[in-house]
Parts: sequence; C-alpha cells; structure tokens
Amino acid sequence: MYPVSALISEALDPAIVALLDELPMAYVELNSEGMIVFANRAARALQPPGNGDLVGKYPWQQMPADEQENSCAEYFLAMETGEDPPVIHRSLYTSAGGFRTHEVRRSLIRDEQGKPTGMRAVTLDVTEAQMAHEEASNARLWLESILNSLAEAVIVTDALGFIRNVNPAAEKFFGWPASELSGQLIEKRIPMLAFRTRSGKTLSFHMALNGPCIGDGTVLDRARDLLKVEISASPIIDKENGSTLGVVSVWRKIEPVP
Amino acid sequence: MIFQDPQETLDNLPVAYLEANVHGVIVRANRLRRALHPLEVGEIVGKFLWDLVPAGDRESSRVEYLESMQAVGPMPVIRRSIYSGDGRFHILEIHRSYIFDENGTIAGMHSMTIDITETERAHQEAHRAQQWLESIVDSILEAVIVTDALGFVRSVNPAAEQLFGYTAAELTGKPIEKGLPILCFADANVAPLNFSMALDKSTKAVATMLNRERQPMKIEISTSPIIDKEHGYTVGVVSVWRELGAAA
Repeated sequence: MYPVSALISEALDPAIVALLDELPMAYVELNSEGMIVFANRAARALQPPGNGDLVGKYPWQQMPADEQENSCAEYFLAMETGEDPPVIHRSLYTSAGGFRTHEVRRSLIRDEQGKPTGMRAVTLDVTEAQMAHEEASNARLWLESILNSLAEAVIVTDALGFIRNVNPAAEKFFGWPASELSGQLIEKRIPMLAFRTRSGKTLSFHMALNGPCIGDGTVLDRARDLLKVEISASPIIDKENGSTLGVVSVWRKIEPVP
Repeated sequence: MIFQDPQETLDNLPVAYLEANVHGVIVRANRLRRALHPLEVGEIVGKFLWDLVPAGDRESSRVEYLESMQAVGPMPVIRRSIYSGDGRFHILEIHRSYIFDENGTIAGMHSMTIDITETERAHQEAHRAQQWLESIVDSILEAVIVTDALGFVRSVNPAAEQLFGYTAAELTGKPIEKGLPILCFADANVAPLNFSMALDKSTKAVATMLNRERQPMKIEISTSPIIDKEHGYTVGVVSVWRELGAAA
C-alpha cells in the first residue's frame, strides 16, 4: 500500500483510502499550504521515473516556469475566499515524457466550520483533444486569413441567400462595411440592375445555388453609384456530405458606367 | 479530521462517481453522478447500469458489462450521450476500472464520468468553421493558389487544378516559381512579379506561362500577402489566376 499522508490515513476508513487509490482517474489532495498529501495510483503513475513521491511536493513543481506563479497565487486565493474553484487546464510534466495538458476538476476540503483546509483534484489528460481543437482553430484562422487577404472582392452567402462573409476587398468594392452586409439578403443589399450570364440567362441567387455561373452585370454600391461588374458565382459544396451550403461569388469591376 | 463518512467522501469528489457490483447493480453513486439523471430515473442506487442507457442500447450494454466481469481485460474510456437531469443531452466521457475483492477476484467496477459537452461543442464548432471555409475556397470559380511565407505551395483549389492541368497534390509542397514558371510579362515597363515582392504588397500582372501540356497561356495574376489575423504577421501569399486567352 502506498504510504498516504497522516492527514488522510488518520481521517479515513482504510476501505475508502483503498477506493480512492483504485479510482480510474488521477486523484490528489492538497493541504492548505498547497502540499500534496494524498495521490492515488493513477496520479502516481503520471510521475516521471526518478522524480520521487508526489506526496510532499507542490503541484506547481510539476508545471512549466511560466505557469507556476499564477497557479500558486490562484490556489491561495481559493483558500482565502473559500469559493469553489473552476475547472482549469494546466501543463504537467508527466511520465509520458514532456508536458501534457491536464484538465483539473477541483473541490475544496473544508473543516466543520466550513473553512477551507485543502483541495481535492481529479485530473484528466486532454492533450490530444486540445491539440485537435488547436489544429482546427489554426486551420480556421489560416483560411479566414486567406479569404480576407484575397485581392478580389468575395462575398459568401448561405443557402438562403443571407450574406455570411464579406472580405475587405468586397468592403472596399461596394463601400459597405462587412458588419452592415452580414446577415442581410444579398439581393436586397446589393441590388442588381441587370445581369446576363455568358449563356444568356438572367442571373438569380437560385441559379448560382444550382451550379457555377459567370457573367456581367450592373449593381449599385453604397453610394448608389452604378458599377459594371463581372461576377463569378459558384455553389459551396460541403466536402463531407455533398450538400449545398451556400454561394461564393467573386466580383470585379469592368469599367465605370457613364 | 477531514472525512468521516465514505458517502460524504464520494459526494465531495469533484467528478461524478459510480460503483457497480459484478452483476451490474449500482451500489454507490455520488451527488454529481445522481444529478446527471432526470428526476424520473429516481434513486439510481439499486438499479442496473443498463437501466440508465437508452432502451435501444440496453441489451448490448448488459452483455458487454457482464462479459467484462468474466475476466480482467482492457477497460477503455467510453463516450455516451445521455438525456440529463437539466433536460438537455450531454456527452459524457466515462473512465472505468475494476474493483477486486480481497482474493483478487473481480467484484465490480468503478466509473468516473466527466461531462465533455462544452469541450466537444467547441471542438465541433471549430471543425465546422474549418470545413465551411475550406468549402468556400474550394468552390471559388477563380483559380486560387496559396503559398506559405517561403514560397512553397500550400493549397490549390479545384479551379486552379483545372486551369493549369496539375493536381493539387502535384503542386503542393513545391516552390511556386518552379511549379508554375512564368515565361515573360506582358508589360516590359513593369518590374517582373516575383515571390518576395508579393510578400510585401498586393500586386497585379499579366504574364505568359505554361500549363501542364506545355501550352503557353496568357494569365492575369493578382496576389496579396496573407496577414495572420491574430498577430499581424505575413504568413504567405494568396494569388488569383485567370486566363485571358491563349498566348500569342
């Protein structure tokens, strides 16, 4: 049996200590000074070999230098205020080698008067989930940056014709800020006075939903000036399930209308 | 003294905890675990584990549990969607381990449950946003090629594949100036467009280049540096290519 601290072993039924020890997730208890006084088997298994016992250590000793001060300060604040601590994420140096991101769920240990005397914490390794999330977020930022950087005016509508994305080139092109176009029906905000596709048909939003179309037309900008434009519009097809999500259109000025 | 009562100890755990015996009967559940279930489920202690899962999953859950009690085997982390006491569906991640009696025989299972609904929702949202933006770039009728800050091609949309005859896989990872060489520029008075120039500012040029079949094409190229929205760094160049006709 792992030598648990006096704090726990004196207080608890050995059966409960055994139960805590066998829990399927890493569980630790800290005293009011923040020192680890109990660590179950799953928590001990996280310790890098040669790092000694967890009991007697401070959790911030396992963290990168830049997280230590905040973590320590936050712990003592919780002890002082007695407010239930929120779920946090911490980088912990573990037996897996290197730092891993752990989600830490905590509750205060209180004495009979309700005064905090320590903290319980259950930790969950969320490194992979966090990396997947960061990857998706970075990919989103990269793609947003691409759209925003395009020199061509690009407007994206959803499948109902409501404007969902307007890049800076389109803001400049029409004179409307993105915030005033987003959420508006494209045919109302950017009225098209005339438009002929290269196949000779008159363009409508529904036509663009059904298939790519290119043509020339005349639209009004924010100042109600006429713009002669070339528009190429194409349905946005969901890569995963093939459904049509909306329409992406690229707008170019052809020449000023006299 | 911190704890007196085993139930109090479990009730104070910061995650939902449940214990079942070898027959699958729930013998202990803490406060957070009990709160996960709608009121009509009532007291969960004394019920079978499979009484808490949707009707369609009960039999498979029962068989799986009883099989796992036959011999020590892996107890992987599982995910379940449940209709919770707050009237909403929650996604739970369940961590389990065996309980052994004093003779080392399997006596049941510990289970600790984390509600990952919000984390999962945030992840799905980021993934959906990524899919949406990828679909937009792929759907643009104009040929769009994206390079990183070193000039290596990072993405090629279907319109660009069609324009040049190369697949995205063939161009991705190559320096753009090697993948799509420019033969000459239309305007001899304008400085020839190069990658470094495109990193600094938006550019536009008309040039003659070769497609995959080595046929010359007259192309209008407009480029813009890609500025990282969060940090303001230039992270690459996005270029739009359109054919103006066959080169003379």
